[in-house]
Amino acid sequence: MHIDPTHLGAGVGLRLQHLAGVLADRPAAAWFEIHPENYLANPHAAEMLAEIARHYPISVHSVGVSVGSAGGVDRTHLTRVKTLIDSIDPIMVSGHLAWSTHEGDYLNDLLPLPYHAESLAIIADHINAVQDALGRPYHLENPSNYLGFTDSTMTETAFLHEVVRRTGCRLLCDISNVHVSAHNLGYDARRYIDEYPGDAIGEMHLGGFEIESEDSGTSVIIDTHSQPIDGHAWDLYAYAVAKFGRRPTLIEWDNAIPSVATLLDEAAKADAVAAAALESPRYARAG
Amino acid sequence: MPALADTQAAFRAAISTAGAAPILGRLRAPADPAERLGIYRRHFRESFRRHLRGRYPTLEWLLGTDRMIALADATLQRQPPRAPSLAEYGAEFIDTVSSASDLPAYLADVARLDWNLGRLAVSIDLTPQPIGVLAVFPPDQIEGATLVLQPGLAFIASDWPVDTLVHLHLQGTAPDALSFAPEPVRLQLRGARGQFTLERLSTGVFAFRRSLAASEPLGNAIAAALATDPDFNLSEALATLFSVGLVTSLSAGDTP
Repeated sequence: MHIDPTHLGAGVGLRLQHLAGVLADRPAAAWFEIHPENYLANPHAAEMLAEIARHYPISVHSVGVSVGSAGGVDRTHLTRVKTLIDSIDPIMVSGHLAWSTHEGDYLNDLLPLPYHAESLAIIADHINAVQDALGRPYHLENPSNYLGFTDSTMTETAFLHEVVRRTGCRLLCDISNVHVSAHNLGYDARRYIDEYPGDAIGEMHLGGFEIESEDSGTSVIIDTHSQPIDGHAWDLYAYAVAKFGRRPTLIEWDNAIPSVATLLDEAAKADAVAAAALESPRYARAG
Repeated sequence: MPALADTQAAFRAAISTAGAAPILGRLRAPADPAERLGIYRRHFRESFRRHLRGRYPTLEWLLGTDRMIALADATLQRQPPRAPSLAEYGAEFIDTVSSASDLPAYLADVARLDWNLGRLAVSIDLTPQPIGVLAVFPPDQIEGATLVLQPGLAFIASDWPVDTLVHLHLQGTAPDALSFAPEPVRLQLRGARGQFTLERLSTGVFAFRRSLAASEPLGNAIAAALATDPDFNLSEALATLFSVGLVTSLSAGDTP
């Protein structure tokens, strides 16, 4: 099934508990995004995914291809992911500007990176290797950060510009992550969007988050993917759509996972917000 | 400027161990960096705890959550996952339970049941073969044949009736007090597409099926069965093996 993803409405994250229901009910989803790591050791889920992929466009979003690890990308894992990708022919493949493995150990988190010449060179090399191995463009997602590094020499957006220039990769602009990181690190989210390499965006993400108070009297937003999309993220999404145009957008929900119907309601809202943003004079100056 | 590899080694040490973190001086945030680092430390610890607790439900029911968490933390420190697929991580937890000297020995067998039931329940059944496929082998070659069994099978022997504990947990019918005495059991675990069964086998049938599942030729499986049960009935064992759909294919053994 060859599909041009640029004309798709908002999709939703497909989690294991949804598989049987999606096969039985065939909900009116524009597309689904899956984490390949959930299927590598689960033949039953992989069997259901293969059937779902016959009826819906699928995007593959890896949480285990660690392009930010100084020690290199796990080639064995990459080969397993490629096998799955080749079996379902997804519309997009994506992963994170982060690291999650160290000396062969898997840390099960998307850990932050300093942005400097060495990390840029390493990540560009790894993305080139991933794209060569997969035979497809890789969409790199901006992280949700809780802290930065004193030895960073460039902003995240400048870093992304250079990664795109060196690798030709595409970008997955996670709007909620922009809001989360901007709040947590004290910068302006709209300025981040203004500086973002928008031409490279192939996909956008929206996910829910939670705010926590800190002992120092400040607050931190935790990227939990356990809530409906927050108003700040919807507003920033409208701003980004007005600036960059509409892109395939995904509703992510990974904890306290609701029904597919709830996810589809959020996807419909994303479509409505995007449509309104493109018509509204509110963001007329955004571009 | 420290090399990225050094930064990541220090960051990994900071989130996977308690206490002071030398990397703090290289972190920045408009709040206390130690508090922000604590978010990563918390996620690292709790995501693995949650995962391991989900893979050992009967054990947690028996041990309580606090002990489960302590055992999960010990497992993570000793043997962190080596593959970026969390679903594959957790068999190492059985070693932690086995080596805990204050725990009764049967709990390691409960852990084996929990782990394998979860693993087998996501298998898929392949098309079973009828017993008639044996007819393709000349009588003098049949003992060298290998019978390939369903992928969703495991065989566990215990000196305790640990399957009773699993059933009580699953059914939510635990009595206020349970007399739990040693009793050797030979268990077949079978799972596919979200379902599983737990069945006690006789010693001969257990040895027979376990040998076949280990890709032993039919002759070796028969010998293993007879070694544990001189009254092992091969005809009945073979007929049942096929009738319950355990055989998915056959292959001829190596010819001398």
